[in-house]
Amino acid sequence: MALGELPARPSIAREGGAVVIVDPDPAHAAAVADAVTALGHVVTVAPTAAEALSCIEREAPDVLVLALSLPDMDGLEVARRAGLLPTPPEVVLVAERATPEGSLIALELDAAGVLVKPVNVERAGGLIGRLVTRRRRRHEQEEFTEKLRTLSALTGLITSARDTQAVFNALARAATMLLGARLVHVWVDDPRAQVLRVRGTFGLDPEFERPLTEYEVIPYGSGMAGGTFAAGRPEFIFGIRTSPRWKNRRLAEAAGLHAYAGLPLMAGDRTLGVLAIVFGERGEFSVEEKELMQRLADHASFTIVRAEAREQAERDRARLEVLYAVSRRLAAVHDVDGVLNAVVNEAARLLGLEAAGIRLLEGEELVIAARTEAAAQLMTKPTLRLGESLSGRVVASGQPLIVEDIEQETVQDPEQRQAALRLGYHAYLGVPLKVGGRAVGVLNVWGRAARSFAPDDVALLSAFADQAAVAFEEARLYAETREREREATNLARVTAHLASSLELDRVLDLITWSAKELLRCDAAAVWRYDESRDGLVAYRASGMPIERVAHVLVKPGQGLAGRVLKDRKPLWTRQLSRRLQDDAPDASETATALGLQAALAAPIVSGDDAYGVLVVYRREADDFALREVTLLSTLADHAAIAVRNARLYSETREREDENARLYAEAHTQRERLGRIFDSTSDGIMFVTREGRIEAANRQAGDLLGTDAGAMIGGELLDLLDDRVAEAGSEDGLPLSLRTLFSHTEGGEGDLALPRLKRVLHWVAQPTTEGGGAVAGLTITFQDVTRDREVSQMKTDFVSFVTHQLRTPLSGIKWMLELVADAEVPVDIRSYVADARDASERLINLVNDLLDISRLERGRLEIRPQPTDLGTLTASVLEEVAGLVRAHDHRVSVTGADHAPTVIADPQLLRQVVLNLTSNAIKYTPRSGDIAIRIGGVGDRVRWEIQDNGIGIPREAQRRLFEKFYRADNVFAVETEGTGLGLYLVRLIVEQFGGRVWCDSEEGRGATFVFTLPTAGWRDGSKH
Amino acid sequence: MAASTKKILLVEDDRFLRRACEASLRQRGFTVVPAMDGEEGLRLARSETPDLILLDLLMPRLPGIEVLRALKADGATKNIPVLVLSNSSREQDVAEVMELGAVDYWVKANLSLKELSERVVRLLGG
Repeated sequence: MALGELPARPSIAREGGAVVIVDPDPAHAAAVADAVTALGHVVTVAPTAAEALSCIEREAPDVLVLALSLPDMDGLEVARRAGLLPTPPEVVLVAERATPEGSLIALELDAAGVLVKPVNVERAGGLIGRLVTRRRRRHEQEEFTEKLRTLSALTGLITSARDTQAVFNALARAATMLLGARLVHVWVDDPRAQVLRVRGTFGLDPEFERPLTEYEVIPYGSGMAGGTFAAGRPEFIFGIRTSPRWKNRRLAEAAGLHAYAGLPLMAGDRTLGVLAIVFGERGEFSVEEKELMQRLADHASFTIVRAEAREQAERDRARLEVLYAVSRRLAAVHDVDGVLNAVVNEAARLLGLEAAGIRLLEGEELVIAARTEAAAQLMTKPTLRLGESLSGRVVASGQPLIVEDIEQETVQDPEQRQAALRLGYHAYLGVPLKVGGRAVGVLNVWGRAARSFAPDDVALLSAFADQAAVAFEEARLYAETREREREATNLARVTAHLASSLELDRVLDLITWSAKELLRCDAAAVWRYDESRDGLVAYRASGMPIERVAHVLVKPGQGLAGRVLKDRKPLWTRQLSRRLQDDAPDASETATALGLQAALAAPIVSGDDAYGVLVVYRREADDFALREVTLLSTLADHAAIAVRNARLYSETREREDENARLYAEAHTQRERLGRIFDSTSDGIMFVTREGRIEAANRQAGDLLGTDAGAMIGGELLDLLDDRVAEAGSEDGLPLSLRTLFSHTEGGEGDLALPRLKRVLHWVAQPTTEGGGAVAGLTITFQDVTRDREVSQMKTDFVSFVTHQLRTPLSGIKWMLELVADAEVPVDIRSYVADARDASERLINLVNDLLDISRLERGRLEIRPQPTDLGTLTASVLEEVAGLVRAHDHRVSVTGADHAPTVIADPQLLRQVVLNLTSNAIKYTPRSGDIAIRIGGVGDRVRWEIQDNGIGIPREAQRRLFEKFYRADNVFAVETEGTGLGLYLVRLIVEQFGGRVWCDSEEGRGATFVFTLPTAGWRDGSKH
Repeated sequence: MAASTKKILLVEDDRFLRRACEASLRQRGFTVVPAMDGEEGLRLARSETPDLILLDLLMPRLPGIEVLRALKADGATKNIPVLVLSNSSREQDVAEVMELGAVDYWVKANLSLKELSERVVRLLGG
């Protein structure tokens, strides 16, 4: 149950009872009234029902003494209405006489008693007295229950609510309800600001709420609550309007405020706040009321303590989280500056501040190591001594330091203090940064308000500083390790450089310089052996001007360097000048010209090859230790390695240059080829033997309706399947494509892509590798859509014309046949026979034209099958037997029995044989000899027909197989030929991969020959 | 002669060819029912139930190929042998006709009436 729903009911404060006597008889009423008044009750008399009702409503009496017979209304009705009141009175009925009916009525009305006139006044008084007492007790009981309910609801809320504000508001409201107060405030202490703040309030009409907000905060000791807080004990003040502590007199007057009860909210010895309750005009507080107020105050205290505990827990948790996050973040940073910057920023963030900074101990001084931007103006002195200013004290003491108000602080450096105050900073907290128990620095933070830091903050910042110190130390160690690593790496790099650098001069310079430095000498030089001059010349030098000795040539065995070169062993001299008499040009020049005395030399030898000598010099005469000799020898060995490397390198580089040139050439070539590849109008692709596309030019992509790049790596047949299948074609890929990769012979054909409305002609040719093995197929695609359309149109046209010609020709032929079969005179019969021949020729001509047209366009349907030329020839001879007889020729056939089988379309091949045979018959004069020979020649079959006819002129032989060509001398024999027959023969023979020709001498007959392959015929391979 | 009982439906739009063919077949004792176009041919094929149908392809009203299709789709006529006689020799026509179940495809210009009759006789077993 929410506290807002607590019933607000007036408390009954009267000592005696209120009694209303309703009786039209004044005497009787007065008698009873007197008796009741005498008992200490307040009596009102009403002579009529109307008066009685208004009186009951106004007075809310305890007892109603009601005469049943009233002048204006039935008494029962008055009783009924009184029963509807919020607190109905006890009703005592007064009847005219005692009747059973009266008792019944009393029972019905739940009346407390029935009096019969004339009333026994004493008895009546006693009854009324008992009724009042009983009623009073019940009221008290109810009130008590109500209070308990309110308090228990409040307790429930306090223990369950998380919103302190809501609890205080409820508490104030309960106080108003339970105590009949006008205004309740819960004031809570804010120790940092040294004020009390209103945390809960209830009461007052809205019109007074606004002025109230001005008093939400009061300083300690100020006003009513401030006084109570300072006093630390309950205060009860009456007549507050005149109290000097009451500030808002206008409000008090307007709202009619009078009494004040202030209860300090205590937790142990601590005063947490004040429960301030303001009442209207009233008398002294009862013990009970004070007890109630105290209980409410206890509730408030409990709530505050609980809220504090919760806030504390919350804060601790939040801080732990931040600490955890911070330590994680710190662990991720490895450079010292990074850590320090992270520390100051996180410290500021941790405490919700802007200014934070670190000073670190360097020697005896504290220097600024890191600071937030806001702290830049607070930490102005670059260095502080130990013990100086706040930071100095923290580090010196190793203890945290809080300055509650900088203004009151004198230890601080005055300049920094002024800066802090000018920038509005009033509080300071510094904690030491400790490594291994020793303070190595300080972490400072500043707050804007005085007393900004609580012990909590110190603990937190200290914990944080510990974390930071660890991270800082780790980072420092890390950095140190890195530094050592760097040194080692550098040393290694020098060695590596010495051993591996490919620029000889640079290496030699480095070696010369290193030798000078490592052996603490004044100069060093490399003397190189010059083969052409057979002597050493100064080549690189450090610490000496090389041009001064440039002219010197040291012969092997001569001087220091010469001897070292010759002996290939290191050698040193304490004083070069002492060798002057030794005819040592190196020694004399270096010693006299450059003032160098001591020298140590080591040979630079690679294998058997002496490159030169490495020499170090000192100005002072000096000895060289064994260690130094070894060191120089090592350096000389390095130099030798460098020499060898450099030689290898220059050789390698030459080869690389050559390679690069070749590569560039190849690259250019490839680019050029690539451009050619892409600029042809045909699509070209290279496909592996397995059918995977390895290369494709742009056009290939365009023609297949995809991107050339996207095709690469895919399966060609999948791609084509996809293209064909999408169109809903049932056929799928042509067989020639489907089986393309089951052999390596390639092929060609058409591929219709209906979706792209395109017909492609493809040609696949095997592509061999260098070794001659077939690597795959190069496939070209050509868009032949237009060609095929034109071709189709031509075919359709030819078909149509053929049909239109053949139909009337058939009519003529058949009609003539009917005539021939009919009974007609002999002469007419011969005319008809001629007409039939003529029609037959015309039909043959049309048929030839049709065949040629189809063969030329490759439209003729060819059904190749194994065909026996011998049988075929025999059948043709049978057909032309009549013609042979008519010309009286002799025909011989040889080789027909064992002729190899050819693979060809028997119908077409028959036309060839028929044509050649009938030509021979026609162009051979009567009674001629015709010989047909069939035989195998190699992998071919040779068929020839020889006649002894008119022959063919030499010049005509070549053109014989052209379309519409007729030899001149043909017309001497007959003129029936169309000039198509031999052309058709050629087309057919070539169709099956064969050849046809003619051998003849004019006037001495002719031989027509054709050959055909016996095997290996394959669709498409003829091209 | 047994062939005299056989009835042949001749569907041919060209009147010369129709006449010549009809005469020739009659002379050989066949009963010939001539039809001038595809529609008539189809109708007669249903009403006359011939023993053989000689069918031209390029015809007005209903092309021969459609007549063939209709004949083969109809249970009553699908078993009548059909010989296609056409002067068009387009491969696709030949292929289609054979696919639809014609007995054969002959080019009229390449046939004499004698050959035609002989083949018909062979076909009808007469």
